[in-house]
Formats: sequence, structure tokens, C-alpha cells
Amino acid sequence: MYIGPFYFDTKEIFLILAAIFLGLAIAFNWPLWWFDKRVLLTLVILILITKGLLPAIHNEAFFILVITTIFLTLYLPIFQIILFYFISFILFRFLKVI
Amino acid sequence: MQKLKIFIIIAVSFLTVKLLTPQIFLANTPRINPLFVAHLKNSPYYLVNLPANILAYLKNTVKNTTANIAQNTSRMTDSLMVKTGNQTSSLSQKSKISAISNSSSTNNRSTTQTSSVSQRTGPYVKDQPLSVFPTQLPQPTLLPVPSDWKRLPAEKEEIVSAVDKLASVTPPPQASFLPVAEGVSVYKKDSSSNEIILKIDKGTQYTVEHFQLPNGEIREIIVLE
Repeated sequence: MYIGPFYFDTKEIFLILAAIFLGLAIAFNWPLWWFDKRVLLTLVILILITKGLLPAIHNEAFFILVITTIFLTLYLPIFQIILFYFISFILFRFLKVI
Repeated sequence: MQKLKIFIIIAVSFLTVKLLTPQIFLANTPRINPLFVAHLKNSPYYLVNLPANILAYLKNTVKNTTANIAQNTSRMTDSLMVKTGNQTSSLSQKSKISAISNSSSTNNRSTTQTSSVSQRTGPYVKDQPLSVFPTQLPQPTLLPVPSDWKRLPAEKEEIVSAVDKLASVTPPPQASFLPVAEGVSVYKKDSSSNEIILKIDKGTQYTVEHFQLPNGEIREIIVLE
């Protein structure tokens, strides 16, 4: 789908939708079991930024990393989550996974 | 192969975050732990002294083993003497024992000397990095509110006044604060008093709640979000 000069993948549109929903949940105080809304919103923004830097062929590695990161938000503080995300990305690059 | 790599990377990253982060960063914030910086500064000294240290350690181990063997032999000869009860043999045993005990005592003496030397010349003193913090700094812990404290209904005016009161304290200019959580650090006025100054950075989200203790005293609790 084209929005102006930019082409958006289906997954990116879903991510943007998720970000909008999270923003609404924070604004209207909708309850979200177990997950911290602000942490999730931060993660979605980071995922959007990093997804913009990746070609579509690396979707699988990216998918596994994102799922793991979202799951870990249940157990780890946000700083450790962000570190985990960036360290994994750097290692993906060094070991030529992406 | 690719999938295996992905899982290994995720496992390595997770272990790195869980094991190394608490030592490098402070209280899950991007601030670097001063103790870690102190360790880094000490590391060249530690590395230079490492071979000498290993040699000293090995020397100590060998001497200790010799001393232990000598002591064990003397114990064995003691028990032998009790069992035989023969005067002549016991005399000869006694002389042996005295010789062994002399040698073991000299061994012990030399061991203690070596260990004291190794302690003096040891490359790394564990307490040294603590000098980064002034001694008056406390080691605070963030505790949950006790169950017998009664939460009072918070009104907006009350919260505002409490925040004003908190913000009105001016710490001394040379005060060094110890970060305890994201955006929160503490400073203890002096070692004699229990008064603690709490610094909350601009932008840190928190609320002030009021609790009534069982003895009727009302306390303000800062709840970090």
C-alpha cells in the first residue's frame, strides 16, 4: 500500500495500527493484562525503526526476535529489554544472519 | 543452520543481559556503575601482577601440603605410640615426633610469612573501588509498603503540597547522590543523622501517597511508576 511516496508492507501497517491502539489504550486507560502499555509502545516504535532498516528477506529472524522480546517484557525491565533487542541485532549482523 | 544461529544468538543475548548488565549498569538505568569503572581502572594493575600472584598462590599451596603431610605423620606416630606402650619404642618415637613437629612448625611459620607477604603485595583489594563513594552514602533498598499501613485517600492539593515540600530541600553543592532507581538518587546528610535527601530527576513519573501507620503516624510514600 502506498501512502504518499512511501510503500508500506502489510506487517508495517499492522505495527502502525498496534502503535495507534497502544496510544489509545494509554490515553483512555484501557486495561491490558500483564503487559506494560508504555513498554509495548516503546518496543513497537523501536521495531518500526529497525524494520525500516531491514530488507524483507530477513523477516523470519526478525519475527523470532520480536516475539521473544515481547515475551520477555513480562519478566525483564525495559532497559534490559532494549539492551537484549540491540545486542541480538548486532549479533545477527556479525554472524551474518541478516 | 540459520535457525540454529538465531536461537544461539537469542540465548547469548539473554544471558548477556541477565548476567552482565547488573554489573555494568546501575539499577536498570543507562548510567554506568561507578564500581565497574573502578574495576576497569584497576584491571591493568591486576593483570600486571597476575603471574606473580599465581606463583605465590602455587608456592603457598605446595608449602601447605607439605605441612599437612608432616602433621598427619606426627598424628599417626602419636597413635602408634599409644597402641604399643613400649618404653624404648616410645622414646624413639618421641624423638621422631619432636623432629617432625619442629619441621612442621617451621613449615607453618614459613607458610604464614608467605601468605602475609602475598596479602601485602596482592594486586587487587576488594574494598578499594568503594572509595569512589563517600562513606556517608547509604545503601538504600526500595521496600514494599507493610500490610498494616492504612492507605489514606489522596487529594490533589495534598499531593501538590507534598511534592512542593519534597522539592524545597536544597542539598549541599558538593553532595554526591547515589542512584537507586530510574531518575531517583539519594544522599545522606551525615553519618550520625538518619535524614536522607531524595533527588528525583525532572521528568521522572511518580506519585506521593499517604499512609497511616498502626501508631497513628502519617507517612508519605513515593511510588515510582
